[in-house]
Amino acid sequence: MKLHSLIVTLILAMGATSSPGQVERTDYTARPSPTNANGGSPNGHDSTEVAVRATRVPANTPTFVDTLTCGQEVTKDDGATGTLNLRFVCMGGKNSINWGFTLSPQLKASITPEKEPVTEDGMAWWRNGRSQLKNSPHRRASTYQFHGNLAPVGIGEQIDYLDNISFTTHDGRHGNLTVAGTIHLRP
Amino acid sequence: MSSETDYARILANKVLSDLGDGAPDWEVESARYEDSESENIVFGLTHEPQVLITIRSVSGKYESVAAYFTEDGSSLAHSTAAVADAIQDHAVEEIPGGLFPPCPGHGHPAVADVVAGVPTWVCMTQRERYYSREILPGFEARFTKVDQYLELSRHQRPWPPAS
Repeated sequence: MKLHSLIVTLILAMGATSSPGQVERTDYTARPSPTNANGGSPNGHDSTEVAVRATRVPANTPTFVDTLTCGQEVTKDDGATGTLNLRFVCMGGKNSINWGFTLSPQLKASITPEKEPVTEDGMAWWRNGRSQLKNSPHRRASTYQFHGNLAPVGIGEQIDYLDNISFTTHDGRHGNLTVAGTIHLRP
Repeated sequence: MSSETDYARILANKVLSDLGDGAPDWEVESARYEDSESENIVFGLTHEPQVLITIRSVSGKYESVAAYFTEDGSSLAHSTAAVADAIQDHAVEEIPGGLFPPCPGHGHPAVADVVAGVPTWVCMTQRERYYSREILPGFEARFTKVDQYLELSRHQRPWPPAS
């Protein structure tokens, strides 16, 4: 039961950053999605439509939804689980999205050094619904900034992403943090 | 062994050799498909298992690392360059400041990119105008599937070369 509780808590805490209130509170440059305000998602990924076979991602997992323009960077911090940075880089037709994720101080504090490392599956992502090459997995200290690059991407495309970070807390519980969302790329 | 795992192993071995002197003493431990249990289906989007390349340190001095490969991404050339980039990223994290692989005459590493449809190591600042080297010798821009490369390499451009 403890295990289950921790996993659910972390996922919901992370997902909560997609709420409009959280967007207003943090220093986002991305626009909150209008349909997110009533609990839905502009990309058709309403929670009722989420099809999840993997047990790691509950069907009601909220996700980040952002619109990024060339050169735009967003920082998303839910104050509980971690900080996600996204940057849309446009370079002469070679476009990419750089991402980085750092566990929150609270979460890092719950992981004692002897319980390291933290395991990151590697960012899975989809380009207009088509599966792409996953970013590398990592096994690193909880202080590490997990990072990667989603490329190539194009203006006008929709990018969906999903990563899982798992760890063991100082009291022996297993935690699993899901970072997932959708990005709409604009000029 | 499938074509994808064969290709992934050949690619990873080549990239490791390209990293050059002073790089971590890594070798390819395995190239195999992810467990089906690790398949993710979210948003209604499927994600087929990809080849997981695991790399270990011969001496044990360095961390074991991993990278994924699939021929079903945006293009085979991009997937190939992405694997090179991933392994390079691991190497630079193990030995910060390492020039793996070096950009000749410059104090920075070369970077993996796709040039005219071919995965290529290029200069970080001046790109292919200054330096370019094929990541996989014999790779042609027309290749979309690993079998095309493997077929060619079997008959014309074996890798690794016979000692």
